[in-house]
Amino acid sequence: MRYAGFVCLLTVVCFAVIYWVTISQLHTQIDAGLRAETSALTRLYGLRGIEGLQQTISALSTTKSLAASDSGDAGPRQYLLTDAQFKPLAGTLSGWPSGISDNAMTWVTLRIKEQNNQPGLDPEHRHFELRAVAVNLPSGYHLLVGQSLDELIELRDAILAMTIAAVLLVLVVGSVGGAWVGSSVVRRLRAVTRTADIIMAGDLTQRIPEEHRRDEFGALASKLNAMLARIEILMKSTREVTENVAHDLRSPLTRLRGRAEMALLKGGDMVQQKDALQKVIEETDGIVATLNAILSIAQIESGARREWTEVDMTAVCHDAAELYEVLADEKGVDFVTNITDGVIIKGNHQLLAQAIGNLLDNAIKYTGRGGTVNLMLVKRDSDTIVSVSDSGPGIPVELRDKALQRFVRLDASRSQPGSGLGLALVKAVVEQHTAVLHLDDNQPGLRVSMRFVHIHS
Amino acid sequence: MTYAVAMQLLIIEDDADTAAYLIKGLQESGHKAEHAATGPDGLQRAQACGYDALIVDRMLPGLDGLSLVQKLRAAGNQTPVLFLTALADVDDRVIGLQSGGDDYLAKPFAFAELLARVQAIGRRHATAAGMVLRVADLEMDRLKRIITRADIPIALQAREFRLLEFLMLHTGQVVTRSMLLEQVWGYHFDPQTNVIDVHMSRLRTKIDKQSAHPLIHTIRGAGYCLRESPP
Repeated sequence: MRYAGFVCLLTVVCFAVIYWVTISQLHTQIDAGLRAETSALTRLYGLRGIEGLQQTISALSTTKSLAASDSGDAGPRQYLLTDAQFKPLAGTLSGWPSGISDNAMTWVTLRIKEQNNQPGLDPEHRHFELRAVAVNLPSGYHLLVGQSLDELIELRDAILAMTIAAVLLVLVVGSVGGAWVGSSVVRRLRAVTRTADIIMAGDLTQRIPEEHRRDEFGALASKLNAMLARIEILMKSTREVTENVAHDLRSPLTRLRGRAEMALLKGGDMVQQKDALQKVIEETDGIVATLNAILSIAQIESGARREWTEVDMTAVCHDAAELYEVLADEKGVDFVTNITDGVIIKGNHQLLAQAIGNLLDNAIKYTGRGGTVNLMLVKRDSDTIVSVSDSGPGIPVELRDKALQRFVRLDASRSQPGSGLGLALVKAVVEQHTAVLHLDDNQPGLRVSMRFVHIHS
Repeated sequence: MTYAVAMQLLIIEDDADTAAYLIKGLQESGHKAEHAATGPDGLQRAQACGYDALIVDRMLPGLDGLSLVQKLRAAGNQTPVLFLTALADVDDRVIGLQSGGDDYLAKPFAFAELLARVQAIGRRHATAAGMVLRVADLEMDRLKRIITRADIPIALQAREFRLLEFLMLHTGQVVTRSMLLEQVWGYHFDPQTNVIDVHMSRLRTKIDKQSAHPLIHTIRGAGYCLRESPP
């Protein structure tokens, strides 16, 4: 509404300006014409005297002449020549108008009531506005030259009418349009508010209905939905952590408590008590390690990417290889590396090192004596791939998704130590780096690849 | 059981149980330990007395650990500081070190780990290490990168060299696996398998096999130690 009001005001101002400019232009023109004619007539008086002037004015006052002199928009000229006593000598007016001050030259705007005696013109009494200049001629004569403002007034009225019409139009269109847009906006905002209410009541799966219109609201809705999706992921992650913590720490905690209780129950055997306490410490360490791993994954998943730097992946791979190759050797596993030089990606050094470490750890762990583990770093045009492959038992296709979940130990691996979080952490790191994790059959064995798409800045 | 130099330590920790446990453990290890329970008290005492190292909890009443150490450093006090804290991700560690701390240990911790790290940063140990390190008949020229034992050169790979160098710079002290992982590999996570042990075992083979006097010792429940005399 305010907007419509403002536009109205603007319209009025525009029209007012047009009006003022037009009208004042016309006034100026009229006055200029009057001035010119008056000075011409005065000169004529100087040359031909009163008779000459009288003749001229009479001639000018004939219909034909008036018609010819019709100067554009403003109507025919009016003349009056009188003697010193204001007795009319010639002209179109019947009498000297009252209220004109007796100066050498006086400009007036008068309302005249005249009977139109000129043949051809409307023979009735009429009122009209007259713009005139009255001069005192030498020897006491008075001359009045004027111009009817009737047509000017008509123009003014016309502009006024147009202005009013325009204002009304703007008001109507503005109100209707505004109301329509407003209701559309209100309707869409209400949709957002409604969705927000449902979400706050607990249903994080809700999304704002998108109408696929390519305007600001459409963009806003789609961004809000993206935000909601992210929040849902974070909430899910938090929930999982809580569930995992509850589920996977209860067992060791139970054992812990059990051992402590047993140590208290048994007789004062120092050796047994010491042994029990030692086990308590071991169990505690296990719990701490699991807790750290869970928190670590949760932190990675919810982490911000501002700590990203340019990471020398070649160096990271070489360092990891150096750390694990002795272990491989110890276990009789052949360790082969294929690391391209000078590969840099944007990311977090520690997380990437940890991910590769986890993969190598797993690979060496699951590959039996005589097997092979391969670490490869390849840079292509559009992406960089780090892959770790082994010749172990591998993971069957149908179990690959499950393997990436937390705390899953596939049957074949239950005999091995570890918390089952290795691959889950790798997945979290990969996702944080907007990369893709692939699990493939190495024939035999497993090949895990992390594919980092290059970000072109 | 450790043979390190006895240190004067100040523990700035508001949890009474943790403080008591630390004091007892440190005293039993041959050190002198005092306790301050608040930030301001800890700061004042750290500046008043010359301690060999400070153990500072990050969360303290009155003045938090980070600010305390920043103030200490701003006043020109260079006493080594070990931060102890429940805030344990890599970024927290970086913040701790940037504030003037020398090392950073997450809770819960194994006491042996704390002990090893305190000794590693302790002032008395910070002797200026020269270019040539010597322990018994083991000699390392850090510049030329030559290792000899009883004047017989030993060929080491780059990583083995760095590992040995770290051990020699901390001769007589317990060095934990996580310290090795951090300092020699720059890793701040715990690998699931005993990779460090395998590396140490290889190093030990190269250094100690030919000699009747082993220098690299495993300290049960803690880590490793390089020293002359047997444990």
